[in-house]
Formats: sequence, structure tokens, C-alpha cells
Amino acid sequence: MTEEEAMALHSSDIGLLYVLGVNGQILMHYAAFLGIEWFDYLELMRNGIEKYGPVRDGIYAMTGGGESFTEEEKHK
Amino acid sequence: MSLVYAGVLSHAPGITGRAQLVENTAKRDEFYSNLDRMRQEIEESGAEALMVIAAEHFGNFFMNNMPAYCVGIGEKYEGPIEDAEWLKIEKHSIPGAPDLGKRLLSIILESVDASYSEEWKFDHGIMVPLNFLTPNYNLPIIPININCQGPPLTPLHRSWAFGEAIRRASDQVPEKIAVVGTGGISHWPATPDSGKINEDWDRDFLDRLMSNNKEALLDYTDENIYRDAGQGGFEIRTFIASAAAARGKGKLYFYTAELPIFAVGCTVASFEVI
Repeated sequence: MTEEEAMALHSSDIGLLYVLGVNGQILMHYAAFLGIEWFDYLELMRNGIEKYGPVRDGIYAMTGGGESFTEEEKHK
Repeated sequence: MSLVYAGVLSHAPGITGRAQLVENTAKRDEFYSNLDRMRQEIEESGAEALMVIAAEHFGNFFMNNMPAYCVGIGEKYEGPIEDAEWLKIEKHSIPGAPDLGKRLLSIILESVDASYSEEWKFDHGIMVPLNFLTPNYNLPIIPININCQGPPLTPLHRSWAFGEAIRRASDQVPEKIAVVGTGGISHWPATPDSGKINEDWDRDFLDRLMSNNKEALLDYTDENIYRDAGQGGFEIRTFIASAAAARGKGKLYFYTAELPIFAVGCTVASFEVI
């Protein structure tokens, strides 16, 4: 694990973990473990992209990341 | 012939886990009603075991050892592996079918190098379907996994061949067997694009699936699936295997892109088994 990866994990930085390439099928459960609600989890990933830039590794290339596709989230 | 039922359905965790947040409750309930229709049809088929062709999400198989195909031959299973409160499905013990599973596997292995597992903790990919299809958890389950998560992925034509192998195996055992493939069509689950659905792509795929057109179903590359249908689109492998097992045309009971909070185009369909 790199120093940046360790820091992201220790500081529960969901946005950075996403940018570093953690698969969302794992990351969403880590977020839930931390008590982060679903829509907040989505927003933290978007914030991570804004702060740290595009996803650097793993299966995700940038195909978006700034838009909500869910009416329920917009009304939250 | 012992394959008595074949179908496909969605399995996204939001289907149960975020049900209470849905604003379009009429559409949600229509979806649930069609899932219950599938439950009734499986019951009426007299199936003695249900094979669930699923796309596991790193709960049991990880990047250190990722089988392309795995067949469960356990006596029993547990699930969900996720937090019950998160998925809104209580933890259950689910009966397996070890003897039947081993007999099926031995035939499948004649043409497909599947792995097997006696231990399997079901994630939402199986538990969400079971929540609707066997709510009392009294039907023996044979879980089957196709790696749809961690590339490199098994080619689509091998998923078709796997479905054919499942069918050949089912035809050589006396038990009545139902099979369902469960996955998403286009979706970008658990990413910032969660809720995005490419309805045009979904409907085109469903046209190919319902006509059980092998050539058209296999006419995708992972590159264009990823581009048009997201990483979740890789799960079409489970639908393709089910179509290959059924051999007949499909009947689309339900599809909607109007429940993006479930993060998938919600689908329920069955095939004619011929």
C-alpha cells in the first residue's frame, strides 16, 4: 500500500479512495460501515474527483461523475 | 428434460435496500409484482432446485483467485454477506443441493472448466433475487457465478457455451430444475454515475435476448459494453447463459428505466424452455 493509499484509508477519505481505484462494490460497503448514507456516498466520490482529479487506476475510467441521475437525490 | 423454468431478473441492492426512498412507488410496486409473478411460475413449474446464475461482487472471489465460472455444491449457504440493515434483508441459512450440484457439475465439466465451492456467502447478487423468488428460503439453491467484475472477463461466447453446458447437465438428471440469470443491463453501480441507465442500449439488448438471437447477443465487445453500458453491463453474461440454457424465445414481463434509485434498468423476463 502506498503512503497515499494508507492515508486515504486511515482518514476515511471516500473520494480519494475512489480516485485511487477502489472498486465501488467494495467502497460502498466501507462507506456504509462508516455510517455514510447512500446519497452522501455518491457526493463524496464526486467531491473526490473534483479535488483529486480523474480516477487513476482500476476498472473505472471517467465517464461522468458530476451529475446526479436520481430524482430522489435531487430532492434530498 | 428436467429444465422446467428459465428466466432473468435484476439484483441491484437498491431494489431492497433503498426501497423506502423511492418516490415512484407505483412503478416500484409494479416491478415487485412481476418478481412475484416469477416466484409463482417457478413454484408452479414444480422445480426441486433453483440454479441462480449470478455475478458475485468480491465477497467470495477476489483478485487473488478469480474463477471465470463457479458452481456451488454446498449443503447450505448463508446470506446476505452485507449488513442486513443496509440491504434490508435479514440473514438466513439457505439450503443447498450438494448431491445434485455435484452431478450437474460433473457434466458441465465435460465442456466447461468450472470451479466449485462448498462454501459460499451470498451477497445481494443472489439474496435480492431469493428475497422475491423463495421468500421462505425453502427451495434448494445451486449458486453459480460468472465473473463479471474483475477483468479479464470470460468471453461472451464462453458464457453462451456455459449456458449450453448447464442445459445439457440439467437434461441428464431426473430432478426438475429452474434456472434464473441475474444481473444488470446497462448500469454504473456504486460509482458517482450510479442511477445512470442507457435505456436505448437496454431495450436493444432485450430485443436480442427475447428473440434469443445468439449471433446478436454475442455481437458485443467488452470495450463497447463498457462505453455504452458501464462496468455493470458486463453482467449481461448471466442473461446470455440463461438464454443459452433455455433455447427458446423470451417474454419480457417488465422493464423500466424509471427507477434510477435502484441503479439499474429493472428487468423481469422468462424464456420458453425447448
